[in-house]
Amino acid sequence: MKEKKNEPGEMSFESSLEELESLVEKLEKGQLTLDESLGIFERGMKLARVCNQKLSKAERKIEVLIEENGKLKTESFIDD
Amino acid sequence: MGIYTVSQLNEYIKQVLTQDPQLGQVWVRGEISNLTKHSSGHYYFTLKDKGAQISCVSFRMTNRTLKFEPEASMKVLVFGTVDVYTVRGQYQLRVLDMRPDGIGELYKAYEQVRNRLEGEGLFEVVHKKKLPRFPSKVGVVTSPTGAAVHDIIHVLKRRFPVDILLSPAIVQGENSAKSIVRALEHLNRTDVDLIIVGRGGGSLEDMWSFNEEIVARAIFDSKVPIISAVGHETDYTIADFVADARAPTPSAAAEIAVPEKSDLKKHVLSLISRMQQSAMHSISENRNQVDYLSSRIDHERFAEILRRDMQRVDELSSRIEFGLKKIIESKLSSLSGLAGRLNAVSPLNTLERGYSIALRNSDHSVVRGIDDVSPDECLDIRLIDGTVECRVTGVKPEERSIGKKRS
Repeated sequence: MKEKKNEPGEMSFESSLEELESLVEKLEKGQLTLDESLGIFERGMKLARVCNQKLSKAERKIEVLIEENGKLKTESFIDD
Repeated sequence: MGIYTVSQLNEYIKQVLTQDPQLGQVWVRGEISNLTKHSSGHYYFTLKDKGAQISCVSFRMTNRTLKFEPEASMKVLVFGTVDVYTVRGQYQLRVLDMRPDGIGELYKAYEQVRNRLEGEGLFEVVHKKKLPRFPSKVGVVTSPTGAAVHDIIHVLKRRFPVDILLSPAIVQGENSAKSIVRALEHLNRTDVDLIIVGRGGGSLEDMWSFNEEIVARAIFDSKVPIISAVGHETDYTIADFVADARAPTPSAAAEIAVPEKSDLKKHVLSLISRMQQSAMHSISENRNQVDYLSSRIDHERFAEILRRDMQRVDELSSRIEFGLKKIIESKLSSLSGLAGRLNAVSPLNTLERGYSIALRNSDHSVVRGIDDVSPDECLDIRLIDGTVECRVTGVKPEERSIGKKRS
């Protein structure tokens, strides 16, 4: 059930958030040893940090798709 | 001019009519009547208005490209070429393209397509793809110059950060449907995880391409989930029915596509605080457990156990003492018995009675016979109260006769 633990820094926002949500639920359900709780808490905080970083990410690509001789390429799109 | 045969005349008339550039490509408005759909796939009908009519033929090849199904008494615009059917001496309009004429007819065509696709199950919920919760790249099919793309980019910029890939399409007029289909196909070859297809508001005719079957099928066939966003609040286009989600406007589509940043930030913050509370709760719960357990260690009971054990130690040690004493006593009594027996055979008793023991001085061995000594050897004679040191001056063996004489 337990999936391999990825480094939070390499995970997508979605999987970070989903793991974080499931960790919170697990913590709230209790039934863990103190060591387990603290381990989960530590990983949860790492994931939360990654989520916040991704949310604050400023740059994003805006591109336009162009077909040239049957092949697709992209160019940046300037929206005025 | 001589006399024509009928064939020649009709051929001539045909030439005249078909060579006229005006009649080669003509748009005609009228109403369909006497419609016959032949099993060959060709349609024959009469196009009429209040005062006149003209025979029309629409061959199967043409019918396949029509965007609606002609029906009797439908008002249509026919694009065609004037031709002559020489067999009957009849001129007719050969249809190249045909469109519903006017709003009413457009609705009729819309209904037709909708009913057909609905019958095929294209609108059913089971076919709806789930929109990704957090798309990383959103594809947009719309005009690169319209308001829609601007609105979408504007909204997306305020929301969860995503990349945007515009696949330009003509969204109005003649080639728009094909263009939209192509743009959708292009995006399906990229790594976008969600597509918004749409345009800003307009008249029913403006948005017509979104009611066309090929667009509906392209949306249905898309592997990437699609949000339709044809800018009109109330009416649904066919695209809306077949898309995985429908938004009333392009801006609304962008809002559906991507969650809001501040909501997410709040969500993450609340997760953090829930996590902290749980961790604190877990710590304090464990602390309480430790407190509880330590309170259950009863000092009084502990002391009693100690007292009981001390008493037991005392009891055991006195039992050991008693046992030892008994052992010692029994050993002592057997010792005195042995001493008595030893006494009985002690040489001291013999000495008491006046006997003595001769020991060689050199090695303290008992002298048992005259052969044990030699003249001048020193002997110790043990008596009851001491030792007499002597020197051997001579030995004589005992004579049996002497003993006889004395007795």
